[in-house]
Amino acid sequence: MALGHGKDEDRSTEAETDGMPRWVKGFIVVAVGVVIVLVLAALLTGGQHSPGRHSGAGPVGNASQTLAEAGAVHPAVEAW
Amino acid sequence: MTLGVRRPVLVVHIICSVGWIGAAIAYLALGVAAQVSPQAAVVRAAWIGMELTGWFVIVPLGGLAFLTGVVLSLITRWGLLQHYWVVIALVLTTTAFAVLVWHMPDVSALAAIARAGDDAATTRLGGDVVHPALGILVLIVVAVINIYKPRGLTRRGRARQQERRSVPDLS
Repeated sequence: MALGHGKDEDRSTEAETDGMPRWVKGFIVVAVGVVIVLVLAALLTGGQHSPGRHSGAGPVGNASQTLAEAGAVHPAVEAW
Repeated sequence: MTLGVRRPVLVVHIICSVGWIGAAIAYLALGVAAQVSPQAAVVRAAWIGMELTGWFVIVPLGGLAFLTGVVLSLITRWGLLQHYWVVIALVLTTTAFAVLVWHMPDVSALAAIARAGDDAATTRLGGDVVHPALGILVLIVVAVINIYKPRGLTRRGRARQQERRSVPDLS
């Protein structure tokens, strides 16, 4: 959200037309389409979701449980 | 708010936002390496690198970019909910950061398996490509919106504009 100032900011005081701009409507349509595709993809893969799932390694399940089972956490991460 | 306050916040915001994109691209490179490499050592190193990069670079940069973005909107006349481009940038940034924080424990879990598992188990882990690729796409969209700042006032923004016009200019 790089919000500038000066000339750019002065535009905020300019008169603007009522209603939602066309670019916002187009953006919302595309965003809804992308969300639907992602939801369908998640449903088609059985609702499981993890990095390994995308690569065919299977779901990692409960992360903390898997960490405990693996018995190894990087010292830096553990300390943090 | 004075320029002396806004500019340092803007500098931090730009550094963190651009750094977030760069770190995500580096993460994607590691994710692709783990995905395509048949060597367990490469997959292991990539997952350890992804875990460290994620927790110690991407998450802090993302958090700072989000926070400084909100602060900037509040201390400038753009406002947080007055312009559609600010609202959309806020929603996308919030979503990207939330997915990142939600995703990282799984990365840690797989990194732990890579660290402790045998070569066969490590090679089967594969990589992480979809999440960083989508994240980078979202961050680039946010960057483009922030630079172009397309016009459009929200209902709240139009109300604020009317208020400002109704106040007589005494300067």
